[in-house]
Amino acid sequence: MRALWAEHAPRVDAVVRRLVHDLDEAADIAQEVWIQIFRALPTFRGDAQFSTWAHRIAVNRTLNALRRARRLLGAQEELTEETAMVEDDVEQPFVRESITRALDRLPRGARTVFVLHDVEGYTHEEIAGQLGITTGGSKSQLFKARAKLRRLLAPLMDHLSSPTLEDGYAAPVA
Amino acid sequence: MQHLSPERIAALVDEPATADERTHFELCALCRADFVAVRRIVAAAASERDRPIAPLVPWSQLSTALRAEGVLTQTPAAMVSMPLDIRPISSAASLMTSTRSEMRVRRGWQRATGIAAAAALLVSVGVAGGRMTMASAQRANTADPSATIASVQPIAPGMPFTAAAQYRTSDDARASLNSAEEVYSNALLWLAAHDSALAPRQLGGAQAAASDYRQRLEVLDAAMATARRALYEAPDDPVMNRYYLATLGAREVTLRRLTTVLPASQQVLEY
Repeated sequence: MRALWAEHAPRVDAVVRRLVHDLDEAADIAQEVWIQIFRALPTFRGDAQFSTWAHRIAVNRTLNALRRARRLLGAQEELTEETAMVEDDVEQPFVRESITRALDRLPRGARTVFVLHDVEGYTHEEIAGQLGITTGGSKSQLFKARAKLRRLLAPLMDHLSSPTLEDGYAAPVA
Repeated sequence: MQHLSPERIAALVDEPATADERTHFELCALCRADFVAVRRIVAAAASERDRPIAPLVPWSQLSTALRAEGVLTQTPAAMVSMPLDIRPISSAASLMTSTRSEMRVRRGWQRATGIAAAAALLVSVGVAGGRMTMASAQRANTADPSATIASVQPIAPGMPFTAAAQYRTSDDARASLNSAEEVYSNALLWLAAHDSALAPRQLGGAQAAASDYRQRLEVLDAAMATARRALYEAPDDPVMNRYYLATLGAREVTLRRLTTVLPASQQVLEY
């Protein structure tokens, strides 16, 4: 068990951490997640990779915990419109780190949908099913989250190379 | 010219633009820049998925909870070989009688208890480990199980080791070593979080504290860079992996502490 945990905890716990702002709360939920993973281990049939299976459990358990705490998709917290503090020598790899920090300043609902869709790769239909909302509601939360992240990270993004005509609008790949 | 709304621009990363919107993008550099920025954010977010973090819960705490839940039944070798007076977390037997809700309430207390004991174990293991004789180490490597008992003798009066730690096999010793490493990591994280030794705010105010935290971050970054290089050479080395993850955890804690001493108008979003 320990070997399994040591191998997968860095990524399974990362899912929990991305969805939960508070570090102590995230640690409590991570513990619940691992208890459920080990309890359900006899039912793991090997149809999928263990990491995929554990990842699903982590997402479901975390969403349940948040829902149980009546915090998910609750009252929209006031979003601080301060912009990010960035160093002069910002490079592209730091964009990812900055996004992680900026996520902490999104309302819970928007944060959850953004993490599930843009980080974890869930579809709007899956998110709607998980959260008990409509696909339209999921899209709306996602686009608000992206727009707010754009606003929060404006100095960082604008510091990076200016867009050229080649960087202009391109239709999304189907 | 009316610009596209931020939400609409965010949507266009996934959805096709209308003819009017395409025309607008051709004419408006501002909206085009916004679109490129949102697309970069989405791409960066997608790459976040595979980024590991230091585990949120140490194995010692998780294994205690697993035993309390009846999921883990065997007693770890490390707990057997550990002297009773420094066992870090309340025994599994006493936790078995707790209800699930009691467990949840007691988690914070368990953490504190474990952490307090961690420091004691850290010192005793570190010092005693340094005094382990070559002869005992050699005995641990012999094939005959009856000859593989390595003894760690108390090194000074008053040390926590009041009885010799017994290892029946190399696996026992390794399990104990793993446990000690974990306790060591926990103690490091705790020190990074509580800062009881430095108390920077009291000594030099928030500005000095921020400076101390930045200095610590530099040291941690240097340590992580060294560990990364080592991992590049030996990606499966468990000791280096643990070292790297512990440093990563300490870095995050320090970063969070830094945010608590900055003025309200400032926030660290990257470092």
